[in-house]
Amino acid sequence: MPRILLPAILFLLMISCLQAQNSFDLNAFSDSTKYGWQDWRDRGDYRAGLLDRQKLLQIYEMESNPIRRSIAKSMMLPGWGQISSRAYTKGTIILGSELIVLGASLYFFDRSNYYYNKYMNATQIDNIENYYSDAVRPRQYSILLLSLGGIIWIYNIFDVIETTDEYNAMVWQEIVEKYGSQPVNIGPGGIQIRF
Amino acid sequence: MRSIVLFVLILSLMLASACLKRNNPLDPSGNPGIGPAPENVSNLVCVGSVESNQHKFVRLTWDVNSDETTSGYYVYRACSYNSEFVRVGTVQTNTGQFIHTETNGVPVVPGEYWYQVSGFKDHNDLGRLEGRRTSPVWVKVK
Repeated sequence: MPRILLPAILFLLMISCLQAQNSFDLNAFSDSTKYGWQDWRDRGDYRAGLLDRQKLLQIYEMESNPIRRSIAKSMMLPGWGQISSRAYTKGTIILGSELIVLGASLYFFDRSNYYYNKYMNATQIDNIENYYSDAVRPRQYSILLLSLGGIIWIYNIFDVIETTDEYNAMVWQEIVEKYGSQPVNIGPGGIQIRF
Repeated sequence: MRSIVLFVLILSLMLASACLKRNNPLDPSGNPGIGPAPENVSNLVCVGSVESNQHKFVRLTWDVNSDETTSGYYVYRACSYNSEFVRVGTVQTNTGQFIHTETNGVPVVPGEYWYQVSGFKDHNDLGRLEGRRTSPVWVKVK
């Protein structure tokens, strides 16, 4: 039984390969004019251009700022992602405003706790009322400022995406302007340009 | 972005409005079980001793509050209307009279004084809740 089975399988394989060859359009596959190449010189030029573009892309990947990394930086410290994308003014403003707002929130929270402790220990009705209202107002300021800090943080995340996109577009533009018309070679020693 | 900002602001306002609980056990607003605060003391009258009295004193009288809200009274004194009032006596029962003769061994001496009185209510486990003080009342001890 196995003696018959093996040749049968081989026969079926050969049949299927022949069938595949019949259905495969070899002429269409080898027709280079479909890519706009008229002869082997065009093909060679295209290949050289493709390699140049790949090299430019490698430079871009080295110099650009990955969006995920920028977002992670800005999530940890608002403004850091913008600063790493060379938007120094924007990053400093975001970081400064976040620090000011959170600092003010902490200050009002501390004032509120101070009066709330006095309220908790008060035994006279006027003191109870006064210390409570003295504690409520700074607590409201504290929470509102904390919310403002949250809004700045959220805005910072939205902004870092836009800023990094702009930075990367600028990096690409600079790379194209700088290396686009020159043969570029990237090796372990860095970027080499042949003049 | 605008909707996120609005959401965060509304959430923070809700949090801010409900952020502090009135947890003081003597706070009638936070603990209705203790009942109302002591009523304001009314009709405070202060009469000082005269030159013929060898031992100087100030007699204070006022209208008695209801027993439900008041267990006793605190008496305060200052040397001027706006200066700090110091407690000089405690009336442990709900009666409307106090005679001030000395404080911590220091006798009353001739001069002009201002007195205030407030009621208090004892809540056994929670402590003593003091009501509002009266307006300062002037008296001269000769």
